[in-house]
Amino acid sequence: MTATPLQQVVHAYGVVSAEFRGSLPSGLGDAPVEVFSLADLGVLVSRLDAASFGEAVWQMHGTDPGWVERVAGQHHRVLQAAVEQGDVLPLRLPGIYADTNAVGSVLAGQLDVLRGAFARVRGRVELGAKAFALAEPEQPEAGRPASGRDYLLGRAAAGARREHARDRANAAVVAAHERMAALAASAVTNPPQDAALSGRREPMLLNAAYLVPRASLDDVVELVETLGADLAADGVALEVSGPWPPYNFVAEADITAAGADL
Amino acid sequence: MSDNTPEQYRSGSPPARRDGPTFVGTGRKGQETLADILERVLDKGIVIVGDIQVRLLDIELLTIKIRLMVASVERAKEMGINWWEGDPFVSHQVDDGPDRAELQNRVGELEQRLARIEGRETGEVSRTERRA
Repeated sequence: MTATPLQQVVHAYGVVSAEFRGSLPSGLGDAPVEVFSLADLGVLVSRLDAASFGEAVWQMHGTDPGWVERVAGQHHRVLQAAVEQGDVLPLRLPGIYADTNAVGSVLAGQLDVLRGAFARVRGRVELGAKAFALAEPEQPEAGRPASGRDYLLGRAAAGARREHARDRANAAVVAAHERMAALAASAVTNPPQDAALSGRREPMLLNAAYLVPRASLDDVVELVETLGADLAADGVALEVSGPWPPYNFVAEADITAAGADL
Repeated sequence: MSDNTPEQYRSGSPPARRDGPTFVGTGRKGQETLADILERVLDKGIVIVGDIQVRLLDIELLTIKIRLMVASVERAKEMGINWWEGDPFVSHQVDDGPDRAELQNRVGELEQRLARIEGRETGEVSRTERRA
């Protein structure tokens, strides 16, 4: 397989049930997406031109921000459409294979693991929640301090106020997270996103994801309304996103070459 | 993709103080941020490492870069990393960015540095609690 360069490669997006009949948007390179059948499961795949998406191209563009961003967006677009029409287990990028046989043989070797992972996300979607510390309101300046001592005392008091506010905000965020987690089948917290990546200056206090039964979505949204109002009083902005494909809830299912019986 | 819902009332600018949560596409259609998408698509999802055929191994570079981007600023600073300032990936100023060769060098350096750190700390790089 190393001798002849491939004309075509296959990209795998995610795993669905064999009964999945959703209509999906085009995927990588605007290629159509098909469901490749694998026992009682289906794998969402696109056949791609190797000249545009082969290994060499990944190696050349894998660190090119614009390219990766575009590919990630196309990969996600397919999974997002899938989760809006059924259950889906997302595969991580990149997922390029020589052909559908290669996809099939890798996944078939670990069918039980995949089934277990798929069962965990069945009927469930991911919600994301982020909490940001809002800028504190400017303290009205009480005129020029009368002395250096007054100035220092004033600064110490302001510092104590800030620290107190921070503690309150953190405690409120933790409590909110716990209440949301209680409604979820599973919850994870991720490291705060880099400000440079998120484009947000406010400190990120929480970057969490929840695996929520579809039937409970309304309850969670209702809870978020309440929590958001409470958090605002503590100087915290709560942002909820989703429903997402359950990207954050597949970790136990990682399939490695060692585990895969190739 | 599907329909628009009235629930997307997010402008992309920092939030003004308001009395409730912001829903970013909670409802049927997401209006996710780039950061959210990259974090998930490149850092989550099932990893299938079959070593047959075209499964890519060299994508480590990319993975490392993304892991650093989703790591906290504090953690990254502890690791002595501050290259994202002015990085085209995160600043979107592709034209002003360093050229690829330079970028490659920097990522290479970083990779080595990370390998050393990981050697010392056995893998505690950017994921704090992957599972709750």
